[in-house]
Parts: sequence; structure tokens; C-alpha cells
Amino acid sequence: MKIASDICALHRSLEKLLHGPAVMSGSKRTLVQAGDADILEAMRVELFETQFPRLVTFRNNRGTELTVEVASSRLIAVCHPTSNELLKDYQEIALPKRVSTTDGDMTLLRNGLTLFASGATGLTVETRWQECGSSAFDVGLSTDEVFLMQSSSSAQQSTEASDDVLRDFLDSSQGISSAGLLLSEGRVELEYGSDAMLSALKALIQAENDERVHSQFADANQSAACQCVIYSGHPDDDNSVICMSKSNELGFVYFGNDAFEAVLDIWQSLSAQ
Amino acid sequence: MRIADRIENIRQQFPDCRTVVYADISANNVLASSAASQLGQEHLNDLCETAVHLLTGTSAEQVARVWSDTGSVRRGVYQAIIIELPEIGIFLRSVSNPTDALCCVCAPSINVAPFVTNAREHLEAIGQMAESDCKA
Repeated sequence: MKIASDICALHRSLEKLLHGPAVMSGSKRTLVQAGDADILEAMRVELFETQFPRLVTFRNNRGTELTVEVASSRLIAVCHPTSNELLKDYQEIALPKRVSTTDGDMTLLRNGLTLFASGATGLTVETRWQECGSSAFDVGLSTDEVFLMQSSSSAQQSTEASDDVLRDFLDSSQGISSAGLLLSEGRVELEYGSDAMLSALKALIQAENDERVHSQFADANQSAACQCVIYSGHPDDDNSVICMSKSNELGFVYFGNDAFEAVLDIWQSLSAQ
Repeated sequence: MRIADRIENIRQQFPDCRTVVYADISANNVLASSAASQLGQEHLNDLCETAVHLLTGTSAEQVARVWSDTGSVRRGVYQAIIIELPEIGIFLRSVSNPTDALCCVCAPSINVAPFVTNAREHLEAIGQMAESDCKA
């Protein structure tokens, strides 16, 4: 995917060199066709490569338009034509709307970009000369910063999703286990089972302070994100406890050995995602 | 069957098992090993130490207390499985000779339940061999 996007970027650069200003101003080009590249990455590259003042209009395959004034790889303003659905946060403001870091425009732009790219599989761009635009290096928002925010936002979302592994596991194993307890930053977030079982698990947690559990798991494999140990008793007994750790969360589930394989399957399917 | 043959046999029967270490967890001592690739003594010692920690350490004691608090006879931890994305560590403590343990490192694709049953049979057989050797 990365190689494909590099090739696309190289192709665009060569196209500009070969065809000159005709391509750079006024003509429409296809950047992404039938989902063959990442929409946001294609937009980022296009804007980043724009040094002289331009009005850049992106259109996705659903007909949504977004026009930005760009210079020195920086986004200066949101301009016409831009679709109303992307302008809901700018309703009270006449375009062009100059953007800056001081009034939350980074967030507004980020939201607009997300909305623009959401579900889109095609992208065209039209570039026009912007004679009165500013090419100063200290105005507007850095293209990379805006799109980095986009990346870090995605990364944060995936972390949050994976942080739910313990909760998902406890939810899924409720029917086949005797008791479960989920702690987040030392607070009980979820619990089920009889009072006696929960009381025993809480005693385990009190004895096993977070630091000790984390260091024990860390000893086992420091690089693992989700860590899990299943303790089982004497083969003639029927007891197991699964102890899980992820970030600032700890989960404990008490179950009978007849549920061993089912519990294992649930954990492996959830933690592998 | 000798001890070395038994632990080799475990790996032969379960190709997803990469390493088997037979250890004395009371003395923190590796007694025999079988591995798909040559492993340094330091790595084997680490596995043994992890077994000691998981099967007889503070965490194991606390978990055993949970079982006794809920009505079971308090007999300690006899099996601990560490599940991580790149590998699964399976640590078994012998019932017949509780100072003996097997430390196994397996691929995530290992079929855990049959593997544990098989490895435990070998572990108990080794314990009984040692017991009869002592009597003789």
C-alpha cells in the first residue's frame, strides 16, 4: 500500500514536470480511482507539494467538494466551492475562512477531512492560481500537522478499541464462567458472580497490587501489549483463574475447567484482533 | 523410556511445540531439554525461573487462596499458561512429584487441551520413574 502511494506520488510529480502549469492550474486530475489509494494520503501529498499560492479543489466520487487555499505547504483558508455538509461548523462565517491554530480550526479541518474521506473511493483535484494568496511561512496550518492529527487520531481510536479487549472478554465469558472482575485504574468497572466468588477475587486483587502483576507479566514478555496468564489447580480439582493485563486495566475471571477451551478460544480470538 | 526420550517425544507428537524443558522447581534447576533450535543455557534458565515464579510464587499462592476461599481443597497451582501473540508458554507441575515441572514454549496454533493432557502424562511418568529409581 505504501509502495503504491509512493508510486502515485512519483507519478504526480513527473506529471507536473512534464506538463507544467497547464496541469498545475485549471485542469482536473484524478488522484484516486476506485479506491486504489488512500484518499487522505493523496490529499496530503497534493497539498504538501504545493509551494506557490493555489486554490485547490478536491472532489470525491460522491460529489462532495472541499476547496482550500494553499501556499508553502500550508493551509491558508477554506474557500468556495466547498460543500455545505463540510461547512456546518462554519455556518456563521463567510468564505473564505482563514484558518489558524488559535481558534480550533485544526479540529474543524480535521473533522471536515474525515467527513470528506469517509466512504469515498474516488478523488479528483483541480488547481487554480491564487494571485493574491499569501506564501508566508507563518500563516495558516502546516499540511503535515493537520494530517498528522488525522493519523494520531486514528491511532488513538485503535488503541481505545484494543483497550476494550478485557471488557469484551468479560462480557463474552459471563455465561461460561463463575465470576469476573474488571479494574480500570484501580476502580471496579465491571463485576459479576456470587458474593463469595467476587469477594475471593477482590482479595486476590488486594494481595496482587498492580505493580506486582504488571512486573510479573512484564517478565514473561516485555513487548506484549495484552498479557494473560491462566492458572489452574490440581488436575482432580475444577478451578482456573485467568488474569489479564492491558495498559491500566486488570481483569480476573474465575471458571471451571470444563469451560477451559471455550475461555481460551474467546481470549485468543479477542486478543488477536 | 528415558527422560530425554519422553520430552523429545512431546515435541515429536506436537510440532507446534518448539521447546520443552524438564526442571526441578524446588532447586530452580534445568534437568533436561529438547528444542527445535539450539538454545543457550541462559534461555533455559529463564524458562525455569518463570516456571518457579508462576507455579510457586506469590501470585500462585494468592490464586490458590482464591480457590480455598471458594470451598476447594488448597493444593496450589499445577498449571500456568501464558498467552501472548507470538507464543504460548505452558508450565506444568507434577502431581506425583510436585518439585518437577515441564516448561513448554509453543506456537499460538498449538491445540492446548490435547497438548496439556499429553505433556502431563509424560511428566507424571517421569515422576514415577524417579520415584521407583529412589526405591531401588
